Amino acid sequence: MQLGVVENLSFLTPEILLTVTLGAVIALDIGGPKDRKGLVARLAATGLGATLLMVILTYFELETKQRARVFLFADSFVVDPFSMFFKLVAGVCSFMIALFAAKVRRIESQGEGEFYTLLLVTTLGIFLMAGVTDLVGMVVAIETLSIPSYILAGFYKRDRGSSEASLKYVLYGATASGSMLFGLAFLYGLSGTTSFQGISAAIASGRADVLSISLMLGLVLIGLGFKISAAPFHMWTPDVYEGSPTAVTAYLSTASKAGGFAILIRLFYSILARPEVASRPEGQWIPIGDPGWTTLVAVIAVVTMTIGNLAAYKQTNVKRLLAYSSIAHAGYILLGFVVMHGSGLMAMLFYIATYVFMNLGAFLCVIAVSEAGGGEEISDFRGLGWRAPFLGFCMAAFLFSLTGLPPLAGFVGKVYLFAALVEHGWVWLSVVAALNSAVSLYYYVRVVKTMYLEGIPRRAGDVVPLRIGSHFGIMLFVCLVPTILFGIYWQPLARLATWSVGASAPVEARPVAAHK
Amino acid sequence: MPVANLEWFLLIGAFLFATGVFTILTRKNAVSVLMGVELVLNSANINLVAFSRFVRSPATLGPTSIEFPLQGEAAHHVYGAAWIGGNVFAAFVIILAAAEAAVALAIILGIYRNLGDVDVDEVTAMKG
Repeated sequence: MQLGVVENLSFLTPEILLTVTLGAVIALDIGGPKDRKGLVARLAATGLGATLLMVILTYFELETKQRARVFLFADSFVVDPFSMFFKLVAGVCSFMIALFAAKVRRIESQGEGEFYTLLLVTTLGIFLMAGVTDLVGMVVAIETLSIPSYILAGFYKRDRGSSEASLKYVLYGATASGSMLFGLAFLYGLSGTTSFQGISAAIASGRADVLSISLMLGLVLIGLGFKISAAPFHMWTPDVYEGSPTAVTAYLSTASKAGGFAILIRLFYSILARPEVASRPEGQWIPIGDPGWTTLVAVIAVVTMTIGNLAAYKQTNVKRLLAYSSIAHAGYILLGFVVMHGSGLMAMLFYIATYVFMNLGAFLCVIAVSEAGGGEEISDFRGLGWRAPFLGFCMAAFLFSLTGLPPLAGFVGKVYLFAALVEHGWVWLSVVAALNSAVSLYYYVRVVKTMYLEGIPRRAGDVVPLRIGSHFGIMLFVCLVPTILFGIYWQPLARLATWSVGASAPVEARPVAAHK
Repeated sequence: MPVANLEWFLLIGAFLFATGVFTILTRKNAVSVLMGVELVLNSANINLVAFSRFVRSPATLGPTSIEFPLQGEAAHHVYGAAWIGGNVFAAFVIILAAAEAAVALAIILGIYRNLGDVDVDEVTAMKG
């Protein structure tokens, strides 16, 4: 009996460190000194920073030891470059949010101990989502992310919008995960196993009917589509994003979504597809069973981005506008999913990594403005480019990057996605996506126009400066650097994404182990 | 007396699922919606436990590094635990359902305190 836990425990250091931090935060919150203003925030941020460091070290360890993947817990959890990539993205998001939530006065007054505890639990959930290869583990990981997210959405207990957001989130979320569980139960029943590899092997050996499995994966898609807010399961997104505390919204639209994509890719690519050459997941993939499911996902992607972009038009609230924009971006990212080629997966990973920075940055601008005494309506952004020049510049850069204009990171991400589509015969899809990008320019530019072309000061003395403080200024800069850098010098990130796909088949049916 | 077979359990599961979805879609009270969600979760549980009892192919093991030389009925008696994946799954689902219900009820309580109402049609300040 070889479970491979103890000798490979070092590959779990990020998760262990995260759990230790979690315990320390709870202990400090309960037993710490009364006047510990900001101490919990610092502890949580330090723990997340250390976790991030461990993620990077583990990444290197995988590379130097030439071990493409390490299976743990009787093959139900895998540490591979693909999962490490998502852990890196989620870790960066959580770290940034922990840092900028530290200066949000309202979170402090509501009890920062609870906030950071919940934030760390959700991060752990995403880390698990990135690595699970088992249906049970998958459910546990998704709920580890979801349940604290419901509470985080309603973190401002006395705020009507926040309560409403959390009620809508929990009701939609519970329904989605219920449908997903019903599908998962049938996946287990049809194949007789709960492991992704086992289900794939059951299909390959003809024990399980691939059509029934595909239908049940459709039910599972409800739960995962809810997580990434793909149409038609996106209804909750605008309300929840608008009502939640902005720091939580930023989190839900970046880290939580990245986790959803990780599990979506791993589940579907391990059960309904296999690489043409088993050792080359960066090459062509072959759909198993009816290849129609890629067309279904393509339609979902198109509907998602179109709904997101069209509904963003008439929004007057910046958070709600960004919510619809994040729905549209889920559609763009899904494009890479239908390509059935390593280049599509690589484009998805690249896009997620760049999207995280520009989206976090945009939400951070909203937080900085409202903390400095402004509001969240677009009209509150009037003349912002003159009142807070650096913030205005950052916001404009993030919005242009979200549109996909060169020389910003969002442009390179879209180029990779569209190139992968055209290369593999999805020309109509890339045309639709390009049209959508063009449409999205309108509402992003509307915000920039409000910031720069409205409320222009007549004389130099008329400017009422909006001071955002050095803390938010530095954080904005940290988001701005990758947004611009990856638009000019993106090769390192592209290499990392390619390696993450290539070194680790996101999933690949492992031959039945012949240990003795 | 007819012998209970897998289809019966699956039918009950499907019936519960349909009832749950119907409840979610038609009820206006947030607590009732939550009850519908519980029905959906428990329909999955019934299926899981039924599958665990009736599906006994060697595939239950999946490719794993644990080795099981015996197959079929004999294996079921000897290895027990490895064959009850569905039951374990159901146990997890029960715990998750409890956690979800606890959080959802707390949220509904908060809504009631802020708005004095738990009608999901009334809780719609945000639109568009």
